[in-house]
Amino acid sequence: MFKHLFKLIWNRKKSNTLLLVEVFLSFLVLFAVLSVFYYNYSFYSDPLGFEYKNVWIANLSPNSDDEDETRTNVENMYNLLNSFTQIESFSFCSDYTHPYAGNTWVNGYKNVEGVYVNTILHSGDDDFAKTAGLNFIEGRWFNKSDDAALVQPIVVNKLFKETFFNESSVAGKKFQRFDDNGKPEADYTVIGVIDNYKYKGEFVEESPKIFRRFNYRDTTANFRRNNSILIKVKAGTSIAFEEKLVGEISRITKGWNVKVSQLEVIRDRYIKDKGIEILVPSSIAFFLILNVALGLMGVLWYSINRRRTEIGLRRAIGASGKRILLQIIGEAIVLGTFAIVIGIAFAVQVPILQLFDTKIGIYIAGILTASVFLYFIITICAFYPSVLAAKVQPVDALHSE
Amino acid sequence: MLTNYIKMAGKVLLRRKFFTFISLFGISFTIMVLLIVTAFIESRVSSDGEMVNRSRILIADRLIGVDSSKTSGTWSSPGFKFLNKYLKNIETPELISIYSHGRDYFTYPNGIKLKLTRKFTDDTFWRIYPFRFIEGKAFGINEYESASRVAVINEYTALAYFGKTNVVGEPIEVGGITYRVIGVVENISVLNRYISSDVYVPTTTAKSNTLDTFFGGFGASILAKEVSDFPVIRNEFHRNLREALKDAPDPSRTHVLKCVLKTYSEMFAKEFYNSSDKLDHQTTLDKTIEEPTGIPASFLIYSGIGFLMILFMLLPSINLVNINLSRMTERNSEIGVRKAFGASKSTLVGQFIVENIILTLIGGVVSAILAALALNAINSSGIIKHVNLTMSFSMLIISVIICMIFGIMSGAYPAYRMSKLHPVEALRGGTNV
Amino acid sequence: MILLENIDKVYRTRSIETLALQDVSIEVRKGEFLSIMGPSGSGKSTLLNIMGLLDAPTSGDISIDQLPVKNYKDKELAKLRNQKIGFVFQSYHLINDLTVIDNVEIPLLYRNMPGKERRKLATEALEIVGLSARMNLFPNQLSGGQAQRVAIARAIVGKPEIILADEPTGNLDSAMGNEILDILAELHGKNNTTIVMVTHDERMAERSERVIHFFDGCQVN
Repeated sequence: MFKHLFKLIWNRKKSNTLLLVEVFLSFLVLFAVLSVFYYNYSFYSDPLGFEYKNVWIANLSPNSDDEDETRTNVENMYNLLNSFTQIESFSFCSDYTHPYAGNTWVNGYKNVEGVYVNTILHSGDDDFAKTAGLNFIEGRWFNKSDDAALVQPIVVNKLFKETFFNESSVAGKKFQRFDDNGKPEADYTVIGVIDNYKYKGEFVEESPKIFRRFNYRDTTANFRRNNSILIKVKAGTSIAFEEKLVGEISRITKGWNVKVSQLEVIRDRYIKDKGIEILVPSSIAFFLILNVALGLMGVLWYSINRRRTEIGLRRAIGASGKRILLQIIGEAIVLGTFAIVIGIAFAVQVPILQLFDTKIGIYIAGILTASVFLYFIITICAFYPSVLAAKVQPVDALHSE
Repeated sequence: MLTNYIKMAGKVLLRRKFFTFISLFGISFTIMVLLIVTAFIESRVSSDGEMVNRSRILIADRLIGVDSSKTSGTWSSPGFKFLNKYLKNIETPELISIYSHGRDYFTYPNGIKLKLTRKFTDDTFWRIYPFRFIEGKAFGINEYESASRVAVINEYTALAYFGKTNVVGEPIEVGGITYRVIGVVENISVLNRYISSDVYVPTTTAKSNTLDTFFGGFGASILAKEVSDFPVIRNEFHRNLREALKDAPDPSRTHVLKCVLKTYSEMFAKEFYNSSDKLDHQTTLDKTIEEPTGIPASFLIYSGIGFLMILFMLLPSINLVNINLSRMTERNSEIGVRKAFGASKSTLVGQFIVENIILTLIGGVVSAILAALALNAINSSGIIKHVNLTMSFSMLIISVIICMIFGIMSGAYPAYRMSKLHPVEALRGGTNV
Repeated sequence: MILLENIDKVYRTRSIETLALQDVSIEVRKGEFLSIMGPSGSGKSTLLNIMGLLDAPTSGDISIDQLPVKNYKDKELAKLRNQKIGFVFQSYHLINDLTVIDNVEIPLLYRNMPGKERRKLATEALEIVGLSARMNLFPNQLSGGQAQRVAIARAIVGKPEIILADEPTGNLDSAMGNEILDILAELHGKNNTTIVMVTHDERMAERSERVIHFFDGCQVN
């Protein structure tokens, strides 16, 4: 049976070429869209690494650079936040550290093999890990005992540990950063390793990260870079508390601007934006495929009309209606297989040529789902015309056109 | 002859409703998507209204400081101090405007939480970008230099904050400062990010620490007298950059300063080819040190868009060709008869192409309606703030051209096959074409 | 009227050559009713197609009204067919998507004639075949005999000098076939139209003035 169908398709290859090209292109479209979907999903399924429920972020804009004034304000804010019963914990951190921060600080660190590891830097005070809900794999976050540390303590994420050290346990390990001339510039001790910290959001790939300790009392540095407070409120805290918080901070800092947002709100917006980003190409692809599916059905329908004599003859020499039905669907599937095989040959070039730097599993999943999906569509499209074909009576074969 | 073609086409299309539907569905959908894309592009490249000077403007948007090993550095927008000291003094341009990035503030008018974007800017801003004022006027050099707390707000803000647009003279509080409204302008889509904001106030009203930054928070637009002045302006600015190096924070670490002045087209081209810009925090600093490619930006944009459009149209076209070919085999006998009764090859090709163009034109009308609805939905959904995408006359022309291309693309090959069909075979029927 | 001289027609496929016509010379005289008879496969339809300029001979010359058409281009041939020749086919070949009257108008479409005049001529042609009452029906609403009469109306609407009919009664029963023959005979008698008819039915051929017999691509007398 299969061989017979194969022969039929092959002998009609001229009239089937365009159909083949169409299914082939549909495969590529599906493959691309599905791969992007799996690509995003693979990030999405990688843990976020921080808490967003009941966590708020306050961004401050100091209105002077005066150190004493800043110190007083920060001290007052510290006491104020401590006094609120609605607040579970809070942490002063930099505006390139808190979740969904708009800023980034990147630095390169050369490891023992001489490879630069591009690393994102963060800084937060001793309560940051608790407030953000970071998960530790080994070691600990900063605490008072680090005041006396001779070598600067740092916390790294899992990916930094893997790319920089490639060792199973790194807590307590020391390393150096070298300056442009290869001279040691700074020494660090790794005191803890956290899991992920995808602070830009679910759909951003995790990258190597280093956390540095930030003492909120240290206002000698430009406070403008360390102007954020991450706040974990008690569950059920109303949004009215936001206005109170803003008012109180403005009051005790004598006019610093405060902007408070809920991480959950930011995240909703982020997920929505990302959803649109995925939805738009997916819906376009959907309509393209629907278009092709309708076209495929139309073409098959026509070809049934054209082949009434052939089908009638098959009936006359003993093929049952069911068999004709299976034959027409089978033909469409064989044709689809041709196209899909060619499509796969093209699709595998993407990982082979390493056009994009992504895990191979994504492509395999993309190819598999695209194939299954196409077979499904082809079968659906072939069904109605094949029902028509099954209804052709043997006597039609004798009817001259 | 043409009227006959049209009549014939109408009859053929009406008699085969399912296939007409399939064809129309594909055409309408394809052109609708192209129209929406065109509307977005138009909103970015149009030189209407406040963008009348678009082609003569250079933008300073990124300031990059890198250390000699290129492993570390600052990648940021320029700061006010840098721009004011090293860009503002360039002599060749007609006008230079320095403005801050919009920053969001929450205000609570009448107890409602309202998010407003505030932008610091100067008097020249209004001359480079002639906004349409609904009420009042812009602030001038006097208000700027005397640091008057005056504000130009957009229509959205006027309505959301005051509930009306005749609000000149009313006070408005944004970011802890109360300003007096002196003008109300039309809303500008956030897609036009250099000039879009809710509230515009003189930069001089900002706190001193905002104005004392080398990196971050600001940008500039430079209006050249002539487009041909661009190289001179860039050269002049490059000399200033070397000068600025000693002023950079942490001068021992900053070995090179980069700040490329780009045209709107170049900015758009960069976005177009690197749309994931906002996510590429992992891009190494090496990659971010960008130089103009030397290829004209508009060429890059239009060739890129053209390529994508053709790619997008490929599948629906092949689909249409396929359906047309199938219809043609069904119409073998018709072709034979027409040939027998005196239709020449070219007449038949003409007939078939006209049939297709009519189909695509109907599809064009349907798609124009669909696109108008979709644009309306996008405008009112608030997905993109203040966006106002419209169907312009030029878009209508473009869609007609797209229709023609589509009609000819999908009709030409079947018509060619049809004209080659031998009348004797066509009349015999049942032959495989 | 039509002069065929030493016509050969060879059909070539990849592996075989079939000789459909061999050294055929025929003159169709103005105003005659000629029948071509022969068993199926004898080449008579091929001959008719060549006469009608639908097919080109492999070798030999054709002249129409003393003008050789050998070097005519597609456009010129189309014009000749349109003005001088009317075709009637065994399986009618009406266009299903068009009404009866639209089908009849087709030859006039290629003459750049105003719509009103076309309609008038088409109605007249339908009156001749007695179907003017059915001009707004579609072909699939007609009986076989009616369809063939519409086809004849289409063939005569342009007032051609010659009508080529390829087995016009082949799909019809004898009563209907006679009806068709009556119409053809009347056209011949009244308007002095030249008619060439291919048939394998002796009784139909009897009604013409001259009969040429064909066998295996050759004329037999």
